[in-house]
Amino acid sequence: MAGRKIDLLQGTLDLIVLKMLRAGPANGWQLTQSIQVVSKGALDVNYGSIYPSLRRLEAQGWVSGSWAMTDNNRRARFYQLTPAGRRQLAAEREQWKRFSTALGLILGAD
Amino acid sequence: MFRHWLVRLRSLLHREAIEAEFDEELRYHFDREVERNVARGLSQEEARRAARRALGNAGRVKEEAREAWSWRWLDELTQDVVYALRILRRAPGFTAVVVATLALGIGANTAVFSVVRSVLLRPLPFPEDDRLAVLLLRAPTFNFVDFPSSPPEYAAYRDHARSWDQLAAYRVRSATVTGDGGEPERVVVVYATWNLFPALRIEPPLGRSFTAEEAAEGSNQVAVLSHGYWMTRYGGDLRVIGRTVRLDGAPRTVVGVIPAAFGFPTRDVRFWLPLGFTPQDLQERGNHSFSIVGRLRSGVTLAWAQSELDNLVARFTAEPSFNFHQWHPAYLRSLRTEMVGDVSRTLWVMLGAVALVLAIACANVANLLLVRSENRIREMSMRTALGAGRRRLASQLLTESLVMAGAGGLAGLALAYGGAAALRAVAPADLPRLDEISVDATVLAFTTILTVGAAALFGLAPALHAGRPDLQGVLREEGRGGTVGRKRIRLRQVLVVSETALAVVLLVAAGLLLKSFRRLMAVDPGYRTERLLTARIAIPSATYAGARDVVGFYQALLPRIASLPGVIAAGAAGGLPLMGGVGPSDIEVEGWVNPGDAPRPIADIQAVTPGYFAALGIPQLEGRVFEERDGTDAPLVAVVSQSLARTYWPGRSALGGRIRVDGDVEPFAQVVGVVGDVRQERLDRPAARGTLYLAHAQTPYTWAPSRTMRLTVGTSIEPATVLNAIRIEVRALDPSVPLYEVRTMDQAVADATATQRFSMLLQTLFALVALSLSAIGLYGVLAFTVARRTAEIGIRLALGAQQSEVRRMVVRQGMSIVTIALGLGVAGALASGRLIRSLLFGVSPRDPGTYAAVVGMLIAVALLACWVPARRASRVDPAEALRAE
Repeated sequence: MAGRKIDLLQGTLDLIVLKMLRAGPANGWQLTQSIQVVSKGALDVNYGSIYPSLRRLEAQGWVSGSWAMTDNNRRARFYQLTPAGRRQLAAEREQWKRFSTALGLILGAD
Repeated sequence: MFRHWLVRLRSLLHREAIEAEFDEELRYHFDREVERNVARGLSQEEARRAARRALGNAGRVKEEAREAWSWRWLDELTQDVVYALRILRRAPGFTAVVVATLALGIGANTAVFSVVRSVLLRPLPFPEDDRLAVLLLRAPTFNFVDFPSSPPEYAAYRDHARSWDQLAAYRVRSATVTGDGGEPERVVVVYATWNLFPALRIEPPLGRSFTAEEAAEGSNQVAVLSHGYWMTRYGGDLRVIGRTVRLDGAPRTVVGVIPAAFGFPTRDVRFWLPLGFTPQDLQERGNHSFSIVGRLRSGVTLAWAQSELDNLVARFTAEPSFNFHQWHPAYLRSLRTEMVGDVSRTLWVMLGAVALVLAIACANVANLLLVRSENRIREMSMRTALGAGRRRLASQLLTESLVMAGAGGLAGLALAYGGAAALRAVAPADLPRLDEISVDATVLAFTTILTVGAAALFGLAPALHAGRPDLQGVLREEGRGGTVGRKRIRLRQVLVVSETALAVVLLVAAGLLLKSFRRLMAVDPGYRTERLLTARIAIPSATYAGARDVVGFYQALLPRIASLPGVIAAGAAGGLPLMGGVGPSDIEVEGWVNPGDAPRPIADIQAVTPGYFAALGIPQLEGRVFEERDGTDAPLVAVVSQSLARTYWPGRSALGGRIRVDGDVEPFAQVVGVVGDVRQERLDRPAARGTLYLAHAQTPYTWAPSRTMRLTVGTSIEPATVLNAIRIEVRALDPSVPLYEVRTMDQAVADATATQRFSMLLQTLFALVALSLSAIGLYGVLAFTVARRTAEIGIRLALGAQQSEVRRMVVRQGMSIVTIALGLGVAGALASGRLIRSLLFGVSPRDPGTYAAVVGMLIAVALLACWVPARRASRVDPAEALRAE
């Protein structure tokens, strides 16, 4: 069912967005593009998921958004990590590492 | 963290600006998508289309993004409420029916709960009243229960039972108040051992209660005054303490006034007098005239005290030193049960009825909501397709229910206030603690819980299946009237069957109460109740100082009234049946020997004028009634009621027997006549005691012939029409004499049957509400199925089915529901018959006539409810029905 799929993506997408923003401020469009590039096309994050994710992160106080001009002179909303967002990213990365190690151990054991 | 709240706050305050920003943000994204597509070589038009395809449902994105904010719930709530109000306004009829149904269920509930709480649940006006209990005896030989105790029994329990802090004895009597400058008046008094007040923990706010020494025989005679009597007779004068009043001629010093809320054992007690036992009294084992009430030691339960009591009875029976011929089995009952016991059954049954009505109301509302949600499946499916979340839809529906339940709850609360006031107005005046009835915070909480509970209950059903709409199915079948609703129709049938069954239970209960009320009204009380006018009359002691003056006034007045046109007979008495003023007194019967353990001789005493018996139509069975010649100087005579004659002159005629009020200084009076028994206190059971009638002219010295009398005028015409003529006669005799408290015996009977009338009335009301609700429910189900089957019916008609066949088909469907409901309802009514048995009078809880009437009535109403949809079905135009497809 659709609901479960979103649930699964949600946590990870937020983590991905945090990670992407660590490199510097970006707008929603840039984020979808860079996720696609960095994941070598494996993850196609459309705007239907990216904006709700950004909203969630903003509501949590992990990212902050502000309007700025783009290279081609258009107004767009840029997001950047807050100090709290940095801490959250570190914590989640740590957790994710432990989880994937554990999962690797279990799935790898024969 | 601060920032976090700032973002939320901003989102709340600048909602529109944020929405606009968000739109801009999404537009930017869309434009970049288009640009990219153009860069890939698509035309502008194709690029836009591709972008739109790739980006999908913008509405859903916005909604999901909005959900990310935690203020969303508030946002949504406002939106839901606004939406709900709009939806509800669009269907005013539906909303009104739902709100009214709920208001009725909740309002009736709150009103009745208020009464139940005030009367049953609130503690008595005694501190720690759960530790108070009464001690009663069973007398198997006489088949008596709730039998009072004798002095030696009381003393034995007082001295040997360890479970009690205090164990007090008392007895209720009547006495005439004189010697205080006011009019002589017959009042209720209680003789109580000194520890009654400590046992109840009542402290007189003014003065004191009596002491153990004052209760000893021969000591200073004192009295404690009720608050109400202090106010009415002594005008609340503080100097009443220390004043001497005469009760039945004996001087008593008033030592205290009791708190306003206090009345024990009843509210009409005017004086409490000390009761002590002499060694001689303590030998009187046959003198069963004392009630026992006590306060249990802290921590001692009723069951524990009861087992101690059982042991004591066993021990006393075995021990020779306690040996008198028989120890009666004794049992305890909590004081609360004792005081509210009589009405508790009425109130609980009423509460049960009200709960059923609420259940029916809820079923009905659920039913109505289900119809609506059927009609709105398309709307819901559409909104799902447009991206509304499932949770969102469910909460939307729930909001609608809650808004309606809220409105219903408010209307119900208003109804409750009105209802509680109305109940207070129509409730029998002797309902204990009636004046304490009010709608209060607890009741309010109760209503709120009910409201929310009801809303959750019926909000749930549609929300549940709205959550799982078969999207494609609905959209495909939309308008076809397919089979989507079949399961839901089943659910609705179940609801209608249950509410109709509950209505049957209520109807049966109402029918039984109605019938027993009719039986009660048909009871022969021993006197006539129609065309009997009564009024109080009081002559001043200044003008009529001596007994002869008093007697002379009435002897002059009554014949003048009796000779008025339209008057059959005129008499007067100190008190009247059902109107008070008649009280028990100990009597002496010459030559009567106690055959064993019978209570001491006791009778209701009435001092009456010669015309009294004719005016009330009390039949003269033996000898004669009083005549003019039975004057102050003539030999003393008495008239006794039939049951008194049978009790004290068993197997022979009472005529010539001699009798007097106990303690009177006058010689015995000779019985000259026997008259029929009269139900003095209540209509639903024979009088507990016989009546001893004395001639008003010969009223014993301790009583003094009463100056205040109740006139009794039997008429052959409407009683009110002779009232003026009576006033004129009284004025002609003495213009200073007032005539007041004019009442007909009809009114007194209505008051005496008020409890029964009250429950009958409410029950009938509930049953009618239930009946109409289930009729609405039945109509709803049938109308809905007919609408669903329009196409099918159209085909049938097109294929040549008769209109009457179609009608029969619909009616048959409705009646099959009703038949099941009737079966269940009758079974339920039979099962619950036990509960209302004690409220019935002269009617079996399984009275076949009542059941038949209910079944007939239900079928009639159900046919009516079926008829409208059936007619509509038979009028279906086949062409139109098929075209609509």
